[in-house]
Amino acid sequence: MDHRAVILEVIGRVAPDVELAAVAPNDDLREQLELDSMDYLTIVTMVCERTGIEIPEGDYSRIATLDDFVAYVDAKAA
Amino acid sequence: MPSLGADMDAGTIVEWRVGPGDTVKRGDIVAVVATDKADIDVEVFESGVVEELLVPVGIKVPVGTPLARLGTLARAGATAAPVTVAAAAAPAGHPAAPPPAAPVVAVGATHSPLVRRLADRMHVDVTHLAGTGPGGAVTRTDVERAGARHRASPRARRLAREAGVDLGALTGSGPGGAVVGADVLAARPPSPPATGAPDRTASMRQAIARQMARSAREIPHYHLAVDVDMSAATAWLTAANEQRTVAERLLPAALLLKATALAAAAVPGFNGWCEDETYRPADGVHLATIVSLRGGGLVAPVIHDAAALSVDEVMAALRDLVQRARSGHLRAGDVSGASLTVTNLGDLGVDSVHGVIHPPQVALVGFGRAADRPWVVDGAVVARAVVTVTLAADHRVSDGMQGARFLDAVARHLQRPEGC
Repeated sequence: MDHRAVILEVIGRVAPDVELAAVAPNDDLREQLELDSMDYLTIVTMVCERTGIEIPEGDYSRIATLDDFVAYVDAKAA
Repeated sequence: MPSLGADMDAGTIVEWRVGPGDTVKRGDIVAVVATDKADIDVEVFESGVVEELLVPVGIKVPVGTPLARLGTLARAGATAAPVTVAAAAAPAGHPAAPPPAAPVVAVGATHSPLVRRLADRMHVDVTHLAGTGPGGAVTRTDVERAGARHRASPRARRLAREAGVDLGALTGSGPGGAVVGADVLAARPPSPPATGAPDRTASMRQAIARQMARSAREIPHYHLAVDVDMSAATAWLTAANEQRTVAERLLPAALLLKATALAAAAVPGFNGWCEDETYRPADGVHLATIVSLRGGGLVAPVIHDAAALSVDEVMAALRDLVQRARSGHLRAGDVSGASLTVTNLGDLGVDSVHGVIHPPQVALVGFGRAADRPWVVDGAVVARAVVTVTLAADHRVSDGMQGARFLDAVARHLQRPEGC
């Protein structure tokens, strides 16, 4: 499974006005996309549903950027 | 046209999800209505058969205008008595909204099987005819007259219904002067923008401006604030969320809303509506929560009876409302009946918010961010997550002493989150 594509697709659903190609891979997602805590929780929930992994709340700091998020999911799903 | 919020006085149908002849069940989404702020899915509150759509797509009509005519589900051929059906609007028991019931009037079909067969053959819709027979019954002559006046092909009738074109006003170019599809298409008014007019941002700005100007003009506000140590609440949330899958996880907002609802239920004077200088307390706590839209502006969907819900239920309601607000699928009941509003600007990094009350409500509760601040515990300064809770209240209804009791109740509930 291409986890980057999954995460971007989910971001596109939660924040339909975001231009996905312009998401900076190493910037904080919440800041650059102006996501509030509900948006962020929805994104995490949908990524978990689609990939079958669990992301504990304590790990949120490890998925702050797109690249970190992808690496985290890659490692967890492996 | 139902009232979709206290500040709405007109709305535009942007989509009909049903057409004449469709059977609808109570709760079905029958139309999408554009207000100045959002597109709202409108449910029907009675079951029946749609007989006629009275307001075409794209036309702005005042609140209270009948939108459609529903027939009751009478046995075929039986005589149905005229019935008045309540339109989709605020659920009963939430008197905040101005008279919500835009009546959809159902008419009875009074005609014999013979007349009906004739009408079918001549493509005349008997439900639209004023009968000249006994008791207003539609007679054979009525049908023949209507048939001669409105000779039109089935396609022309369908197109006319969809486009809101009056067949009687058209000159037919078909055989025997019958109106055909092309005649209707030629007479069709230019189609309005499909959905969410491009100037939605401007119209939302104007709607907010009107409501807030009214608030500033009419409501003598007073403002109170209290700092609340959130360590007990945060610890409780962290522990609760460790046991949960991500789909069941709680956000601090759910706890803040529940604490507010409990305080509003316990301390009178903050949960209700003030109109014509008269305060009317609400039956339950119908908590509106401000959702900022990314394109600008805001909507305030409502969690009904929030004090009676568990924190999990509040969280589920909040998730559902925020998602639907963002995707443009709020329903009529989601945006009407609010008795108190909460704004939570913590995510945006502000420390406190001194809000403006949404009339005719009488209070607004604001939460800033939970940030680590110096806090004195047992004579020593320690770092604690602290949130500033504010109350904007209507001085015509309550005084500072009551307001202080209200904020104290919110703070106490946040110290004992397990009781929320």
